[in-house]
Amino acid sequence: MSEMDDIQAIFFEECAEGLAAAEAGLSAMAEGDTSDSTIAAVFRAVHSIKGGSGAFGHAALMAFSHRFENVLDEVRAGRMTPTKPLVQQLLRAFDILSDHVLAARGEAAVPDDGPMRDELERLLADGGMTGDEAQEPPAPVLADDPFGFEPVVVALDDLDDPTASGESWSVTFRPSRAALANGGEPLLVVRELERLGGRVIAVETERLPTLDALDPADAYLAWRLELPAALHEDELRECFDFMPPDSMVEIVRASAHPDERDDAPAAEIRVDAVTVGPAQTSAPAGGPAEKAPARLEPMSVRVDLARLDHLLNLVGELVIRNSVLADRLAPADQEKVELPQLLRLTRQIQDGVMGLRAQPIAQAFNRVPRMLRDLETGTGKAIRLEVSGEQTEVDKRVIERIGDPLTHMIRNAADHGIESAERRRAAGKPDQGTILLSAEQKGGRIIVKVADDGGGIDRPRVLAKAIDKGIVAPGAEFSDEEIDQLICAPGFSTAETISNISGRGVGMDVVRSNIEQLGGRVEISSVPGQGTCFTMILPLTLAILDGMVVRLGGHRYVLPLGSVIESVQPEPGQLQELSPGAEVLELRGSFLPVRRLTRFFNLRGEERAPEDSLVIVVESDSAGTVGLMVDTIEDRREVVIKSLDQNLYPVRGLGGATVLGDGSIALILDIDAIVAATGVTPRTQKGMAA
Amino acid sequence: MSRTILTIDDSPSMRMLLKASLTAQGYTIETAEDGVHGLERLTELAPDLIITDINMPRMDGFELIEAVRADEQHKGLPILVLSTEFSDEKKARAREAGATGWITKPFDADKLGAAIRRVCP
Repeated sequence: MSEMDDIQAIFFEECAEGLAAAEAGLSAMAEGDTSDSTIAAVFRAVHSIKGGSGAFGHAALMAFSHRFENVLDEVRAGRMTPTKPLVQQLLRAFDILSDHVLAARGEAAVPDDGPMRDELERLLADGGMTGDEAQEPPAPVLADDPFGFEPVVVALDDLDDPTASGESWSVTFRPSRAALANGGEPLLVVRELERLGGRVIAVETERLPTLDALDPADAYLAWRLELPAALHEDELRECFDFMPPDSMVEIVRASAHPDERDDAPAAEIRVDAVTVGPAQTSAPAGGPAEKAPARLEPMSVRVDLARLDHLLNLVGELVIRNSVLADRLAPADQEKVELPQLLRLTRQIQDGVMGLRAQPIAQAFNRVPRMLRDLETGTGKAIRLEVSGEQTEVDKRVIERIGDPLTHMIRNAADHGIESAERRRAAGKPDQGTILLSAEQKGGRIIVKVADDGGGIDRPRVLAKAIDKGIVAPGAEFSDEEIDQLICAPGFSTAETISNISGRGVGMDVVRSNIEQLGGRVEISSVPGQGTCFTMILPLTLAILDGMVVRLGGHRYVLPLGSVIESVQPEPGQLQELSPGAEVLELRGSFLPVRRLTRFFNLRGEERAPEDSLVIVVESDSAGTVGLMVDTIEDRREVVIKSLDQNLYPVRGLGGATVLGDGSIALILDIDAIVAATGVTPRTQKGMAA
Repeated sequence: MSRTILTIDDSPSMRMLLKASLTAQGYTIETAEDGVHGLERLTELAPDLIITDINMPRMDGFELIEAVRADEQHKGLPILVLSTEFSDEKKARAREAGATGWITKPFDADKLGAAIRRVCP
């Protein structure tokens, strides 16, 4: 049983992938890409959902996907044209298919697909028959009752009531020459009849030639068997499923008298085009070519994510051991060719493992269009979606965890962000709202943005609500940014009526905590009347970091190399103090805010003079470039990020810890947290640059 | 000596399902993901029977059957098609290509077993 559950779990995974592929294809079709390969991809996705759904007994899902597939097959064969309205219809059918999959997983109720089923049937009846070639007969067994689908299709008429009187079945079987072609073996059919309780009464050998004239590829024998009357006629017929149509099969009810058996009026019944259709009459000439060209799709292996995690951990250990080894060697030995080679190989292994886990973020983005279609219906607003950067590759875990935050942000944008058509018109905007969804890789980070062109965050209302909910004290002063951040506070919801769309009990606080668990953070920017943009900033790799090892007051720290732009040794006087604690470095004609890290971390010991220190110029997400003053730079190396114990969370400015080559521990600095904590804001920087 | 069956299907769950239900009936089941992969494995395994899907990427079931029938060494091998397709047109094509038999998905393990016995001793 548990094995079946496992297989079923894999089937559901395939369903998810199939749905994503189908949606991507249908969306491409909606945008005018009606190439054969796109249509074939949609067809194949729905087709395999149908295949598995039957195997696992999801009758409703199978019945629906079957109809859907039939329509897609018509489109694929060129008998239906994928016009805009048709593709829209297919997209709606897709939505119901998704609901059916959810229902099969037990995560939702079985959707009411009646109207859509009728629509699809109508399409098949109207569109499918416009071609002038002979049509495939509509599914005979499946037509209306999903449970009527026999595992092995046997469409022969039931001629007899199996319970009718009669003492046995008499079967005469004369295979044709063709029965031996294509790996067929009539004798095995006889053996199967014997398994069912049959008895060979006679073998007719008259046609058997002499040995020299015998063609081993021809059939010469005929058998007559007697089988128990309790068998159903269908069971007998099934045995001849694979025999070619020109073989003679006679199945009659035999009475007690052998003579009567021979005279039985039942005519000879041929196995007709039930299993393998008659080759002679063949497919309609000139029918649409369905021969699929060899498609170049990469082969794939499904690997349990836990195994990849394990591998990644091992690679992390390997990186550490490499560092240990490098440290143990004398400098002269370090230069020798073996060590650099080892390091390069390790790097390649690491990239390889990270690559295994990397997936295009499209997997998370693909579900947005459908969601938006629902939102459009739910809110009555017209919304256009623009997606960019969906091929950006991110770690699999990011894809898994980003889904819910993304869903919530899109809902938020559609429900609260974008205004009603009337209000948009009054504000001089087009009726149709726009949501931009983008992903890009920037340095060592992935930036995912959800932006809308709506009314922006209504700050007075947000503040009033926060005070009302007791999140902040009345009378306190807040900057615009701080007010915007309030919507991420636990338990905050501005929707005046809990709407069906976004009022589902989770708020932006859940979004924030999900993203923070991934080592990322959420930024909100909003311009009244112009829109809101949520930015999720996520680390590219979750485990290994290219770092710069720096020394601060006798301790070693690691700065993420991806953020480092350059390092500068200040000349005397180059560093100027504007106000206590606010220093700037004059660099090539502009002023760079500088923070002394020894002061930031309150490290004891004598503070070095600026000219004996180094300023590392780094890029921060929130405040552009800033300078961080450190004592010296020690090394550049890859480090494995180990998370900090929970009791260290309150210490700001730390992103984790790592083990260095000599076995000592170094803390990893979080540049943005440092910048935020020391109050460098974009505004002060602008003022400085002026 | 248990019979070896090469099952070719692009769906991992279908491959696992086939493997689980046919291994229980005493067969040795090997799998491939599509026609191209199936042909590669054919040489390596020399199976007693092929059970193949029709709709697959890279090389579909029809092409696979034609390729096997064109192969001197394996042309007499029984090949069952196991597909959700059920149209007479497709079945005729399969027969033309050289399929030994056609079974429509979803399959019933017992009936599949019986079907296998009718083409593979």
